Amino acid sequence: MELSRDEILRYSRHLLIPEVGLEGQQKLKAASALVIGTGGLGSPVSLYLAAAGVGRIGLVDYDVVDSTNLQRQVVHGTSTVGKLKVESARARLLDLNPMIQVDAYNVPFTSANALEIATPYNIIIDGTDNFPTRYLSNDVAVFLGKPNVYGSIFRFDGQASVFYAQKGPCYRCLFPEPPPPGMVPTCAEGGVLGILPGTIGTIQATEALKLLLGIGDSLIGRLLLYNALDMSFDFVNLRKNPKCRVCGPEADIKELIDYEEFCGVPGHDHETGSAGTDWDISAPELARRLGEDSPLLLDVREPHELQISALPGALNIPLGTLAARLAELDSAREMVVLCKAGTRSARALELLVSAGFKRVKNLQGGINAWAKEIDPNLPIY
Amino acid sequence: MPTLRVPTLLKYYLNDRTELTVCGATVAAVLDDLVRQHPAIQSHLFDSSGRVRRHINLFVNADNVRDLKGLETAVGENDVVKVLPSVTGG
Repeated sequence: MELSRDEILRYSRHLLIPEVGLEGQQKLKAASALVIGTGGLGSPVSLYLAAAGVGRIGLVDYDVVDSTNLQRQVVHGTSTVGKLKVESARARLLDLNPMIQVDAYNVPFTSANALEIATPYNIIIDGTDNFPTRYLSNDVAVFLGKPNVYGSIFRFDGQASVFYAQKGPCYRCLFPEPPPPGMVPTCAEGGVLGILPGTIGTIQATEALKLLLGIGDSLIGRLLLYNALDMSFDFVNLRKNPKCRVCGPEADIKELIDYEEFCGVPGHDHETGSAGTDWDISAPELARRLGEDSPLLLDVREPHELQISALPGALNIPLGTLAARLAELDSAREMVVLCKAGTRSARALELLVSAGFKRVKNLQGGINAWAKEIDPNLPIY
Repeated sequence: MPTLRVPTLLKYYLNDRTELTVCGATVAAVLDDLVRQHPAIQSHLFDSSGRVRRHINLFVNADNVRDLKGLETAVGENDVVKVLPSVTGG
């Protein structure tokens, strides 16, 4: 694929590198990459692949930009808050490089559409924020015989690898099963250093570019472990798992499955949690009840979160210590459990019910819902 | 003594430490010592039947114990046992 005069000028710094050169840049122009998720990881990945001149970039996301994204999702901006993420990102990428094609898929990536969406692309880049979509992305890559450039983050830690079943292990070889629902918090629940996806995402973009160019030693068979606090980079070896259910010799998963059922969690990282209609109480209903018989408020957030917002009189027992502190609670007294957005409190409620507590409710939408609907003086975070 | 290393996700159960020294000549013995020192981590590593959870990988230095002798993999004085759970943020 020939480069125009404008492209030769634009990619001059690549053309000067012998490992890329004119031939490599032509390869990139003819290449394509599907970026699943336009969040923390998808931002640097898509920006750098666009800048590098990867000819066709697909973006899959169905969310809209909100202001809590902007601490790390640098492909978006204040001016695109409220707009579709794929359209926000597409506009930014085409501003950076109008000489490429950007395909926007404003849909959830699901078993029903994943193979069709991914088929036209050379590589898949996993920038998702939830386990169901990670397992789906892996299985799609295995079934289509494509490399899956993996990245994952939590607070100060990042992982990166290239899963490519034709040449090495896949994601399921390393993680045959997801964690039990609720055991591993998401970034919406646990937070993340804003720069961290920049570090891991640029590593993913680097790996993608190397694969497309056919240069260097890729992360196939190696897992990078990065810790920003220690500023440490560690590598461990990954081998194919002979018992892998999708790429092993006796694989029994031959087609895409129901990944939300497999993982027991929804395929998104939206933070509003619910314990089910029988167990939820809305913020206005709680406000009314507090004026009557004063149920105990049990706040299961971490202590540092109470410095942001808190309800007066609430007892703070962080979710992680609740199981060991049940004796502090009176099971005869009615209790309303709350957290930031209702997810952790829903888990706390499950724990309480399994321990025999019957008079418990979950504040739907958490203290953020209370701030939105009852007390505008409280900040939302 | 061997070193045990955990990621941020698990350090909150180890008094905010990502690295500590442990006793034991096998991975199983090292994990026993870890749980003895920090009982709060037990349910995050083991399921109710006492098996290592499937989303947790254990490495001795750079190698997954699954590719070695599992929990019976030998651990030397200067080895590092790494606990690696899956994380999903993006």
